[in-house]
Amino acid sequence: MPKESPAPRMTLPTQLVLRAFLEEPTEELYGLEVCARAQLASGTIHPILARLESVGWLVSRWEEADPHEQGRPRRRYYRLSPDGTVCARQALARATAGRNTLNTLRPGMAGGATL
Amino acid sequence: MSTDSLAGTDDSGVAGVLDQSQAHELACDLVGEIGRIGMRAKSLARAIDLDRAGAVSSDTDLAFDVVDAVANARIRAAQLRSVVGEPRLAEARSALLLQGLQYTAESARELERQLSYTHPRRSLAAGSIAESCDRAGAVVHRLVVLRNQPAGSAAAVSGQKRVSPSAQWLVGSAARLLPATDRPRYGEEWRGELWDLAGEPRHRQLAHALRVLLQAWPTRRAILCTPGEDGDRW
Repeated sequence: MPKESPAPRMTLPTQLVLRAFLEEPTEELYGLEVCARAQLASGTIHPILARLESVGWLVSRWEEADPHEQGRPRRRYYRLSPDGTVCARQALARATAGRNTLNTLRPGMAGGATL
Repeated sequence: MSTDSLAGTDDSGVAGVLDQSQAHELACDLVGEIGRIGMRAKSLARAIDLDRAGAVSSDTDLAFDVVDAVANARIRAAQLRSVVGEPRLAEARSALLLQGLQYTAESARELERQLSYTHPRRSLAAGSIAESCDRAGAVVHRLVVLRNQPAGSAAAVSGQKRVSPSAQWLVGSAARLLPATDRPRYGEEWRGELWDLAGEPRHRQLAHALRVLLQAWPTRRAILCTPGEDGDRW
């Protein structure tokens, strides 16, 4: 049973980031990869990553490669924590359910836009 | 900044080739850190002296030797800081500083050994001073190796030539908006992203860096926001 952790607000960019991680929950991604998968502009996701990390849904670590050998600075890799995977799925499900309810109550609202 | 973070063994750190301002900043941090080691050494020496009620003892002498050694190391670190932009001088002064730190660490370890029989807690403190000196020595070595990276020896250098200095300045500015303890980590992370964009046109690097800067304040709020606070704006 995952521990209760306060859920971040499920804004659209946050949902896109979580979906990017949930495509492969055990995979580690660095910042630019997350942007590419979530189809968000590069450089815009760090508040989201910081927030998700602060509530324990994401964990991060430095790349273990030697910068000299790689010829570039280290990357910071992020992945979903075990609890984070469960919480993220639940939060996305709630967000999707809420949107479906809204569409039911007010069909065609906002053009019936879906994610 | 602790010697752990200076040595790059945790979330903060130094990676890749250092430019002059980064090397100077690291050298300044090193002087500060050795100063803090000195304060710990003084505090330990005074405590031992107080215990001995002023009587002559080898523990007290050794403790004050450590204090003097750290003070000398701090002077050498300050001298290194003043020449960090001149590779040959920096290498010579770093060798002197490394010698000083090694001597200090050895003295602190001897003190640790002596105190282990009479005062285990103070023995731990002496051991901790020795470890801090070792970590500072690792930072000195790293500082000199990274600063003196030969021009053509690493793809990092060729990559650096393709990373826009303006973009680097922008991400550096973004990192400075964050809490002090998080600046090294995010600074390195954002510099790393720029390196990954090194093959992109300059305007794309700048656009990325500008977006990072615009998101720096929300990132700061996210870092400082305690769980449950309604700090999300995205």
